This record gives sequence, structure tokens and C-alpha cells, in this order.
Amino acid sequence: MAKNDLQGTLDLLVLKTLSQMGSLHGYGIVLHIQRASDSLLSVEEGSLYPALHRMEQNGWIGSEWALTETNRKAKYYKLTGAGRKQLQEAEKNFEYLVKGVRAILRYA
Amino acid sequence: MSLIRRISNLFARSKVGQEIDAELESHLAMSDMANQDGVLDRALEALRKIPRAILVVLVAFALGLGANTAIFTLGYSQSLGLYPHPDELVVLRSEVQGHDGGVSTGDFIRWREQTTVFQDLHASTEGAFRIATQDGPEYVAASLVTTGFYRMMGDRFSLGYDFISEDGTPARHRVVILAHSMWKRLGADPAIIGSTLLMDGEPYTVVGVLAPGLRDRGAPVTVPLVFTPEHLNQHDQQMNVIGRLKPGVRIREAQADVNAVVARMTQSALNSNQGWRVSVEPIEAASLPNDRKLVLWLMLGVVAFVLLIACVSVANLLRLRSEAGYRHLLPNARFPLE
Repeated sequence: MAKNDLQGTLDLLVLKTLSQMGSLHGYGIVLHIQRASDSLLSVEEGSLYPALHRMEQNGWIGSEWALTETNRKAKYYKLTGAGRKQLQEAEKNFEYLVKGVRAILRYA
Repeated sequence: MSLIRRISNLFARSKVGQEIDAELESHLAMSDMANQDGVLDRALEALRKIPRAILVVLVAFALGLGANTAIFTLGYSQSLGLYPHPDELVVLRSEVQGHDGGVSTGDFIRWREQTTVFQDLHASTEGAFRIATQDGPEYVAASLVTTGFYRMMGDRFSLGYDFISEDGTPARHRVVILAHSMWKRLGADPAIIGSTLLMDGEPYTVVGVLAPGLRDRGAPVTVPLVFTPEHLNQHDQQMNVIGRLKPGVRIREAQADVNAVVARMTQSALNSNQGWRVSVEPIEAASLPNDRKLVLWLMLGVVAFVLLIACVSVANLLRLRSEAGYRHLLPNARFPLE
């Protein structure tokens, strides 16, 4: 059975965002998720940054401090090779999760 | 997990903590900046998020209230709401056995001398003059008013001033005040004050031009109403009498004062009429003909109904929405991710 929990969902969203947008800082990730989901999803910064660090420790993303367009220091994140594989894995897991939940909902 | 790993994690954690703090700081700074930039965007966004039902409610109320305000304002301005303290202005109307009796010069002069409740009491009557305008000679209607009439009413002047008391004396009675529209018809000369205007072939000095507005609907020219000693015993003149009550004097008190004066006059046989009565009425009730008043009341009634219908529609709308379920009135659901 696939590993599926809400934390996995946040990882999936972040990985997908980085794979689509290239290099982004945390705030950019929050904005992207919000816009792409039509404000249906909101990511709390209190959960995002620990998750980013955990994913960095896992080697899925790399980071470096840089200056934003408005000359502010921010940490930019980028997908690594391992992250790309993890993304495929997480997408698959999510499909299983959705399928499973759907089946339960239909049954009920 | 080995002990060494745990200990190194302790240090790592504090380093990670510092990193996260720095990142959060930069995150908050960016979101603050975005908030300042997007104030208008967010206001519009909020406006768009207002449920359509509430917009309909707002529009219904706005239309209902707007129509009421418009009609009320129209009625108020029609009934001399333009003048300062219109509640102090009264009309004195003479009645003989229930019929309009008219006011003679003699009546007016005695009322003015003997009443105590008025700050000011003025008379006016109508006439006409032959005046040379740009289009050639023509007859224009004229108001004849006692000097100080416009001052009492609170009229404003575009040029010059109201008549002064000397203008009412026989030596200086050839002076004229122009309505704003008349001044324009005469060429809108800004230096017209002090120049002469030929009226019925006699030179009249222009002393004032009234401000545009209500007065343009009245007589184009105004001349002083001059009383000669022989006027005192005349009974044939039909004059309108308007007064301004002293502050705080009620209509009832004014009526009592006028009644006392009229009773004295009747006793001294200066007026032989039986059943003579002089009524004191607020000017807004007296200034509008009854059919115009009825029309205004009808219009006010109609727009009041419009507001009522708006209220009913809104009530219906809210009832339907509550039957359809509250969820439609709620903003988009948000699923915070932990």
C-alpha cells in the first residue's frame, strides 16, 4: 500500500511546483500553490519551511541564498535528480490515495 | 539512532532553526510588501467576492432610498427650502366670511406698526413695465416690494444689493433690481450696477441683480413699493404680505398677536368688513398651489411604495436563499494544509 498522508500531499505540491517553476523561494511557492489552485489551497508558512528543510535533508531539493528582484535576501529552492524521482513516486501515490478515497465514498 | 547522531542533530537543529527564522523573516517581509502593493487589487477582489444576493439587496435599497431622497428634495426646494430659516417665514392672508379678502395698503401699514411678533413684515404686488431689450421694446412683469423684502427672505445677489430704505421714498423710487435671467437678456453686463434702464420711458437706476435660481421663475424686474400718504385710506390694493417671525415665536402666538391688531382695527371702524379674519400660515403651506402640493404628495407616496416593494423583494430573496441552504452565502471553502 502506498504511503499516503497529508504531509505527503504538501511534499507533492512543493515538488510539483518546483518542477514546473524551476527555482523559487518559499513565498513564491506559497503564491504559486494559491494561484494555481484558485485559492482553494493555502499553505501555512509554519508548515512549509520545516517541510522544505526536511525535503532538503532527504536530498530531494537543493537551496541557496540569493537576492530577489526587489533586492531582498531569500533562500531559493530547486529540484534535484532524487527529487524528480520522488515527485513521480508521490504523484503515483496520490493517484492511489484519490482512487482509494473515491472508492470508499462511492461505497458509502 | 546512535547517541552521536542525536547529539549532532541537536546542533544541526539549532542551525536549522536559525535558517528557518531567517527564511520566515524574508517571507513575512515579502508578503507585507505584496499586501501594500495589492491594496486596490484586494479591495476589488473583496468586492467581487460579495455574493450577488447582497449586491441585489444593496441596489434595491439604493434605488428605493435614492428615489425617496430625490422626490423629497424636489418638494423641499419647491416649498422654499432654499431660504434660511424657512420655518420663520409666514404669509398673512385676509379672509372675509371665508373668501379671499385681499390686503390693502392701509391694512399692511397698520399691521406693520402694531404687531410685535415679526422681525420683519413686507408687502409685494405685481405690475408691468415697457422695457427696451435687445430684441426691441417689450412688456415685462414686475414685482413691487417694500424695501428690505429680499433681505428678509434671504435672497442672494449676483451683483449689487437689495433696496435700501431710502429707495422706498418718493424722491428715490426710480431704482430697479433685475432677476438673473433678465440681466442676461439685457446683455449680461458685469458693470450694470449704477447704469440706467428705460422703463415706461422713465430712467431707472439698476441697483442689484439677483442670484440665478428660484427668482428667475418670478417677475424679471423688481421695483420698490412706494406708499404715499393717500395710500393709507385706500382699500382697493391687493397685496401679498410675508413676514419673518422673531426666533422662537410660534404660529399660534403670531396668530393671537395679529388677531388683537385686527380686532382693534375693526373696532375703530377703519375696516368696515364683518367677519374679517387674518390668518397666519407657514410659507411652505401657502406658497404652493393645492394641486401642485397634491402631485408632490402623490409622487412621495409612489416612491415610498417603491421602497416598500424593494424591502419585500429583499425579504423574499433572503427567504429563498435561506431555503436553498446557507452554503451559497458562504465564501469559497478553504482547506488549510498542515
